[in-house]
Amino acid sequence: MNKNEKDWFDSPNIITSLIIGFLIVIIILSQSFAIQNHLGFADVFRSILNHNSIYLITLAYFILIKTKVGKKYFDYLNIIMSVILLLALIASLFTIFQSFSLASILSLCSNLLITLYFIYAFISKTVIGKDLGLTSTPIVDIKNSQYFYVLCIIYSVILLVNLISVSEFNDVIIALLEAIYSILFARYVYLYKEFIDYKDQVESTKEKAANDKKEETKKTKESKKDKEDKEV
Amino acid sequence: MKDLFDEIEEQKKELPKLKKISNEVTKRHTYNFYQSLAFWLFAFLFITGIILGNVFPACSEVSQVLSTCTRTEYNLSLTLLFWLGSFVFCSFIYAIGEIVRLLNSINDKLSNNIKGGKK
Repeated sequence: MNKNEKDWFDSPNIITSLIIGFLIVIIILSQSFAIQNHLGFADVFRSILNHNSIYLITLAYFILIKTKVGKKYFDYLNIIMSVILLLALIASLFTIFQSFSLASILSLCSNLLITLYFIYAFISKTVIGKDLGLTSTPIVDIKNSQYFYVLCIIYSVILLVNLISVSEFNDVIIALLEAIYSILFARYVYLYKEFIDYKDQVESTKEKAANDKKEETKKTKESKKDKEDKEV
Repeated sequence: MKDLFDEIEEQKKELPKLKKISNEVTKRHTYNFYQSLAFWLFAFLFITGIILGNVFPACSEVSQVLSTCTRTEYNLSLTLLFWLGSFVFCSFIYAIGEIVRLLNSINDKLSNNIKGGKK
């Protein structure tokens, strides 16, 4: 398929713009719902930190990668992002001890998988990833599409559980938006991994072609030499 | 038209090697007492922050009838605030250590100069 004929879900530009849009809507809506529920300043602040800190940092990440500085330090940003994802993973792990439920278990699973997926796609092929030997770990054995579809299934189940358990319309909207954002984020990681794999494939084909050409010239030279020897 | 990842691939700066980073970090330093104290204290407070977030959980669901907390979750806000506070506190201790180190080096240089002058 031609590059210009890409569907919207295959275009990183559109996906990142959508993610930025959804993140802004989620943060604003969740805060406005918190204020509507007559929460005090301290509670609203705590809610921002507890629920929206990850979203705020992710928003900053996506806005940055649209800028020149962000593009230059893309790998550095990915390392910060993976630390943030690890933090979210630790928080969801401890949440299981606080309230053991299907929702908290699913949240832990999704956080674990997205952290692994992010490291697999963004860190494993960098210099640090190679130094740490990430290319020979089991996380590389799972295919890109498998990661993506498993994550989509988990997010859909989380959405179902949330829709069943919530009691207010506000929570339904937030749950829907969060599910869409999560799937878009997974899609972003998927597209980057596809891009990296495609680039590697092109490079290896070029290398192979160059090697074939070298061998061919070597063979023609040898055959010429043989002919000359025979003539002599 | 170029897509986002093509632009990133053209412009991005490669990460340094891990060996290079560890060499940069360990290049100087004989840390003095205050500076090592700051490091170890921060490590201790970092773990304490995680424990505190778990010991004092946040409420994620409130009962509409009784207004009591029906579901709790890990208190990330408390952990982050605690980490921030401990970072500031440990930086303060580290800074004191740095001042002590600089004063010591000035003292050494001055005493060397005086000895050289006497000779």
